Amino acid sequence: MRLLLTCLFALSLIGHVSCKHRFPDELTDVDKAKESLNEGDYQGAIAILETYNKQNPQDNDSKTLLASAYAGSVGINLVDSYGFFESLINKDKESVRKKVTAPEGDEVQAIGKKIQSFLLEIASQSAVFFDIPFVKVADRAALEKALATVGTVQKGTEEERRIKLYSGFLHLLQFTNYFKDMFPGLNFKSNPSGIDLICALETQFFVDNLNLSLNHFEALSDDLAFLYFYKNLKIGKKAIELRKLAIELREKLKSTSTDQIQVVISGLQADYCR
Amino acid sequence: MIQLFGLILLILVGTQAQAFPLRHRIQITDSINSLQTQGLCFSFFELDKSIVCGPWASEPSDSGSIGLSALFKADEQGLKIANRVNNKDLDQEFISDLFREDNFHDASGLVEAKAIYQNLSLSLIPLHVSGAYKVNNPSLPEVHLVATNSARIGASYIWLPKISNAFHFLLSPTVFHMSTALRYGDFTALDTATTTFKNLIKVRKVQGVDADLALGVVSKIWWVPSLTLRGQNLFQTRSCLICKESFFEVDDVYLPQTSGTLSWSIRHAIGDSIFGIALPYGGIFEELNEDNLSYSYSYRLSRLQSFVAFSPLKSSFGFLLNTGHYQLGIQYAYEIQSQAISRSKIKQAYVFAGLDL
Repeated sequence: MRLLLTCLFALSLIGHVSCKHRFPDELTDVDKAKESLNEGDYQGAIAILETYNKQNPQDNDSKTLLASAYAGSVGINLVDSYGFFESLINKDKESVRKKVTAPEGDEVQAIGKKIQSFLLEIASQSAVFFDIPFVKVADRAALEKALATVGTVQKGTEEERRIKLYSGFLHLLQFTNYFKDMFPGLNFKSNPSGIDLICALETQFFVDNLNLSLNHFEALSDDLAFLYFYKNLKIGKKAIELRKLAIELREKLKSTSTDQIQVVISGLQADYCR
Repeated sequence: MIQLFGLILLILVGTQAQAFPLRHRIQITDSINSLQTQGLCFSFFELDKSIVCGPWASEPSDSGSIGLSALFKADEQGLKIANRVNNKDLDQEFISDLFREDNFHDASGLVEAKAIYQNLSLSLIPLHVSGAYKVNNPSLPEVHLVATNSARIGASYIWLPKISNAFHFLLSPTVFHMSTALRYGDFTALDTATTTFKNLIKVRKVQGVDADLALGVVSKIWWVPSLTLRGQNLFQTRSCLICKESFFEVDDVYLPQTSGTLSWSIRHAIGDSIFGIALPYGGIFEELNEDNLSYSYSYRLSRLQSFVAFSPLKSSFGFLLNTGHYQLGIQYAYEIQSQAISRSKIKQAYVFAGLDL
């Protein structure tokens, strides 16, 4: 009897030991992806979530997860960027505005004025726009994928409202990185002024990157404006003005050739960069 | 004996057939012994030279006693993390390790004053707290928090009439008043940037009078098991407290639960053994809680006791030193939380102490 009970007890232990490998098989795909993200295995998480999202297009939360995996795969994460992210929401823009006075009596071409206004406005928010993680050109495709994934979240849902802030963050990353590409060689860590930006402009870089940066700038402004109405975020109100500025600039440049832009830029630099 | 054999086989077969969804469980500790045995025994006491697996944390005392107990269960790493977060001593390496290695920790603590006279026990627990966190995804962090705070005052009586030379009947009712506050939050970094922390945390409070009951048969024959049926929160009418709103499982402790235990105690030439099986149920024996079905073995030699226990979610072994006035223990556990890919990742070591005056 003693032997029988001992054997039964041993059997139960063995039965338990043989059970233990069952549970990892029961991980849901989303759980597996989260485990991969915790491990820092972004590519593994992307592979799982891309397949999962194809099979479950209605799952908005997993789309957010996938977007964050794309961003994480190129080193962009809210753990590192949280301070910046929070300041984007709460920053008082007046505290960083740098005063610039146009030379009196000078006539500035309409296009030049728009470019000038745009650059001055961006420079006035330098602590917001310039202190952003650098993303190599090769890695920006991953951020585009993240934005495309975010864009598939069902409209009108709570998930869409929540994801607007993350979408704005990703657009901000793309805008700022393409914007900086217009000024090769300029040291953004020194918080350049609007004048510094004007003086560092090079026509070809400006032409190549302006549309890309404006696309993201407008989308960023859209997200922030949405959040202004939904969450009453302070910067949302400013975003509406910036969007208007971006649209006006794009309108002015629509029918302008590269040679004409060169003339405009030279004129601006002659006025400000003596 | 054939029926017993059949019962054990049935349990094994039942264990093999289970499959279940899982959220993170919070262990709300109210007894060192129940933690060590994973719910089989809440106390150990002697009855006519046999060792009895007690259904409650208080054992009878012929001479009477007054006790003050302090119990704290947490693992060292969790305490270090809490300290660093509290001091805002955060760096990149810490954050990376937090998600990779320490993305889940829980802790609980309890202070209890007891007065025991023979079979009657009065208990006051002014503070019984537990808490846990879980973080996922450093790219877009999601944070899950839960904290519970309870106070309880109650009285229990244990009655052990003799049925025969080999068996005692066990009956132990407990009546108590308890108030509990549950605070929990599940949010992402996006939420913290746009909403105050206070608004991210939900609160649920409950209080009322309730009762526990244990009854069973204590066997003094080593090969005949003692049987105990135990019911907690028997008059709780709510179906759930946090329900499925939270990432964590905390409802179990505050809702009606019943369990059946079979235990064998053997007195060796040197030391004593108790081994047994605990079958927990949700409600009044409504649904077998397969997650918490456990079997354990304990060996006691003088003041030192060792434990081995297994359940589908946790394997553990531990030691307990009991000097009569204080208890000091340690438990190493492999737990499955969030269906971890590798069992070794969720390895926890707990250190706990109890003090009886």
